[in-house]
Amino acid sequence: MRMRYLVLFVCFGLSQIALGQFSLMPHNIGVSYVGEMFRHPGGKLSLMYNIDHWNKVNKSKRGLAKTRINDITLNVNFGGFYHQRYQTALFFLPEIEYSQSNRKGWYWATGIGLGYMRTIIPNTYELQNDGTVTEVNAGHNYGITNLYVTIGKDLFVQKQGRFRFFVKPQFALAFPNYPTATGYFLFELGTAYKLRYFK
Amino acid sequence: MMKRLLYILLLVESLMSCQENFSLQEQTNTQFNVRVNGVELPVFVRGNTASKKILLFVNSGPGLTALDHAHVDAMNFNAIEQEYAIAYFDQRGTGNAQGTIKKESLTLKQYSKDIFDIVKVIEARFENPDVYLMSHGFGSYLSAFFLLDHEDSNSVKGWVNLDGTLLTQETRIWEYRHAFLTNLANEEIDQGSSVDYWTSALAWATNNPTISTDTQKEEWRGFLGNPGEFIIPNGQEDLKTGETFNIVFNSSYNALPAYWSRNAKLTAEQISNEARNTNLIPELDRLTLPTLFIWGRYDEVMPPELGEDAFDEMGTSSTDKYLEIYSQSGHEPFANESSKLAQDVVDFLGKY
Repeated sequence: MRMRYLVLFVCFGLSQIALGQFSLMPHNIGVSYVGEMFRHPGGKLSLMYNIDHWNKVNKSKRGLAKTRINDITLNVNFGGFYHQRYQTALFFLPEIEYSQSNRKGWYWATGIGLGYMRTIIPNTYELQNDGTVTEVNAGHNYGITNLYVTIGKDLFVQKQGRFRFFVKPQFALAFPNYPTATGYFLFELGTAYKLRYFK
Repeated sequence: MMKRLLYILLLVESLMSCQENFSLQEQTNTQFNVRVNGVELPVFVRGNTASKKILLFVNSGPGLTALDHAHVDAMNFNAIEQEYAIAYFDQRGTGNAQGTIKKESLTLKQYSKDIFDIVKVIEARFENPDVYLMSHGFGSYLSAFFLLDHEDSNSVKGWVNLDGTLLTQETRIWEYRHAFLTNLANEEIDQGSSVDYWTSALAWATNNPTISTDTQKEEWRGFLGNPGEFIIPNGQEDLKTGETFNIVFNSSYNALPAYWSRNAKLTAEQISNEARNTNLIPELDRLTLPTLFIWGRYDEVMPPELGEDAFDEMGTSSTDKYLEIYSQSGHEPFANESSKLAQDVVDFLGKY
């Protein structure tokens, strides 16, 4: 059953690419430091696809036009972190994000993600049935979901620059971990480079 | 392509999983995991492994953690670690234990197997040291269950029991608490301390031979006060703010699953349900290993009267079992009289 859904999903994705409606080339590509609880180091590569974009003009109290730039983005993230003595985690985490920028390029964003995480647990030993103790490879497959806010500066908005910088604190949950989930706090500090423009 | 990806993953794993040092040293600081039935239990060994004596600490709970407290030595065991090593572990379903734990696997039998497997891994990794159990509160229930479960295996050399919960029958526990108040009142009257107050406490105890209602329990508590208020010494093993920050930001511990998760509570409920209304004391005569019981005189949770009965019931010969009642301690003697406790534990291990 799962396989059937996977095949359907892949077929849909390929057809979209073939029809030219979706390019694999992201609009932005980002790299980040990801610190689990700040100090357990990790990294992330993000492929950022703009899905929608619109401007909204409001009047300020003084009657001046105030432009807000709104975007919906799909971030496809590959990353991991190393928590000494606890675990190494590798994840694939697509996120859907809403962001809003002002005319100076300062922006905030919020989003949620849902993906897959694999953990590798170091220095694990197991008592065997014959009484011997052996070192074993240990790790688990989890679903992972996250919720985040981002604050950053997009140099493109004001100066047509290609870089943006951001901080992105987030809570993540790996599931199922008995009986619910295991929480993580990830602090992300990153930059993204504009590869192409959204039309 | 898949093969190449696998090699890359293995390379990342080998780079990331720094090997721990298992050589015998006076200042060991080693952490590893023991996998039991698909769950990884983290074990942190600190202290003098060159002594070839390691205490496996079974913490209280159920549902509480040990590794976090160990990182900041919240239990003041450092003096013991100068002489011998202590192995701390997070129990199944708590703290930094990893894996998808099935609810059905949260049983006393499984906890017993967890302790057994950890002992065996410690023996294998540290050149067959003598392993002892040291337990506190509900950890003593788990330890007693383990010892009774494995009484023929000689898997541990001795047991240090700190104010242990050895029965969960509410009515029986309140009988001990009743005796605790009565004995305490008599002691204070004999010493001429607040005679009127303790005389009224004694009268209340006489008029209430059984304590069963919430009102009676409140009145009983009223005579004793809370720890630190009146006669019961303060000394709860609470983490201070600085220690919590140290654990969260300056240790290998992942604090979120320990402090911000329903898992521990659900685990505690599951284990408590199984242990409910049981009494291990009558079975202790099956245990013959060297034993040191340490009890706070002012432990109102598990009164010393209970400790004395359990001690008498132990099957260990009288020359190999010791009972120490600490005159300045409550339920957590390591918080109230840590130096004395360390010395007594060191002396005990020195004998066996």
